[in-house]
Amino acid sequence: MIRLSPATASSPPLNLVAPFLLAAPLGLLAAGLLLATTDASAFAAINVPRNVAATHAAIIGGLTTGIMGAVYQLGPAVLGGRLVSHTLARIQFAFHAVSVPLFVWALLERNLTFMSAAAMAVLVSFVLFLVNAVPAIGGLRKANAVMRAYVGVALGMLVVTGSLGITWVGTLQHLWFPVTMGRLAGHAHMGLLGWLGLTVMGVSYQLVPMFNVVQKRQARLAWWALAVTSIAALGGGLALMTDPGREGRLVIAAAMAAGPALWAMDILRLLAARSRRTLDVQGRATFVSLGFLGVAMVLGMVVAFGKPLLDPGQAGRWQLAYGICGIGGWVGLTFVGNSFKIVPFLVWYHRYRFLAGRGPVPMISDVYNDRVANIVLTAYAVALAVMALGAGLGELSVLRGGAGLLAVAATAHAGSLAHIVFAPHAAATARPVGRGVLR
Amino acid sequence: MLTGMTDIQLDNRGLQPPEPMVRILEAIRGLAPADRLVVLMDREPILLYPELERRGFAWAYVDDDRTLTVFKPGPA
Repeated sequence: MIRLSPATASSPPLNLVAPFLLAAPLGLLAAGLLLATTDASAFAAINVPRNVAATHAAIIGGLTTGIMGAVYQLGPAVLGGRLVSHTLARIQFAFHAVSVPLFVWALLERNLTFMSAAAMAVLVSFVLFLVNAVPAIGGLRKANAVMRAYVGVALGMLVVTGSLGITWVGTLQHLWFPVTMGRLAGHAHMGLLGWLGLTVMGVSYQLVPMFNVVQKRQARLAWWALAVTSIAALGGGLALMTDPGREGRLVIAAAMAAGPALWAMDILRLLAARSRRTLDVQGRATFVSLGFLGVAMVLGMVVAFGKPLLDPGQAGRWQLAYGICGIGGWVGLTFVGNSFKIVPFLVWYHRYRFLAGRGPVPMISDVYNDRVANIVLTAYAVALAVMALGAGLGELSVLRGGAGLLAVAATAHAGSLAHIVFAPHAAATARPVGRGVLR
Repeated sequence: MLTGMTDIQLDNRGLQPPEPMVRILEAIRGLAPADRLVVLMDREPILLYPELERRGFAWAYVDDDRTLTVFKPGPA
């Protein structure tokens, strides 16, 4: 296909996208603080109020907020789509920023009145997001079909997960039906695998080759991984809601692990073929997150097996460790790594592209500090590993210590992203125009 | 190629964003009205297009060989 000017692409303003990416670490900070102040009830069951509040702070407050900003940016900039309204996106951010903390607080306090109101407000935020997100990923470029398909299915799973979540809140208040552990597990896995997982997988297929300069190898398993993961997330999530026995749980766990495993093999193949041998923070984050994904898969099987691997009196221990590895380790670290590439590029594009070709401009390496970014990434990774270990072993002080470090890492993350956005950047020395120019 | 037209080639493969954009914007600075800049790319530079047009250049991108051609549009 040949495309000719005039251009149709546009990048949303910096002040539209940046608030989402700057606010996202605050959700992880809240999750860290909630678990740093927990008591031994955290190990009793995964659905004690503080665990549920921490999970939603991390998923809706942290990772979903970051993904919303990334979709608003990458949709128009990479997929060639368009936002319906910049004003609507700003209203959505305000709605999200108010409703999510209220929802997390209501979950913590188990305040059903506020929980219902806040859950409705969160759902409105999702609807407003979808109004912009669907056309944002709706460009016609064939080259980016993989990422578009993954994010498209993930948006559908967000609708399903959010709808189930609001139903659970409704039934807590009006007692329509019991919310069993199976129903909670179905909702949680549709969110983790269907929404967060598919988004991470699709975006990685675009950003891993771009930032690690992979030229000679193509993804082979992308469509298989999408099909398997989508079916497992939706079908497996629905099946979990029937509270299946051990055999059923093990089959579902294996099916849910299969798609991400195919994707991980593809990503490792791409990384092995990279031209840029020195890894930056995004490449390191990808490797570390894959390690956490592997651990999460194993823990998922352990949790699915149940007794005697799980102590019935402390059933939440390995479930909590599984969630920490899957949500924080896999999805969270992927977000952290990409945030240190997306935010600097956004700042560069909106601040310096006008000057490019007319004089010296900073490059990305001048806009963010890779050393600081790696310290933040390491702090996150150590925090999550310590938390998972503390949860798995049932050691409260270890869990609390890891969660405290998570809060510190999230604070440093928020501060370093804010520094990238607001601090002035030194222009690099002028580089020769003629490098690589052949007449 | 038309008589008197020169193709200037630029290999932008293997570079991280935004370096391809910077190199193209640097290269078009010295582009004569009859010249064309032909750039080998790893991927389509979607965000470059508005900036090219802002600077008075037209472009064509071929998906199959990932080649971007930038030129000064002639008089209508």
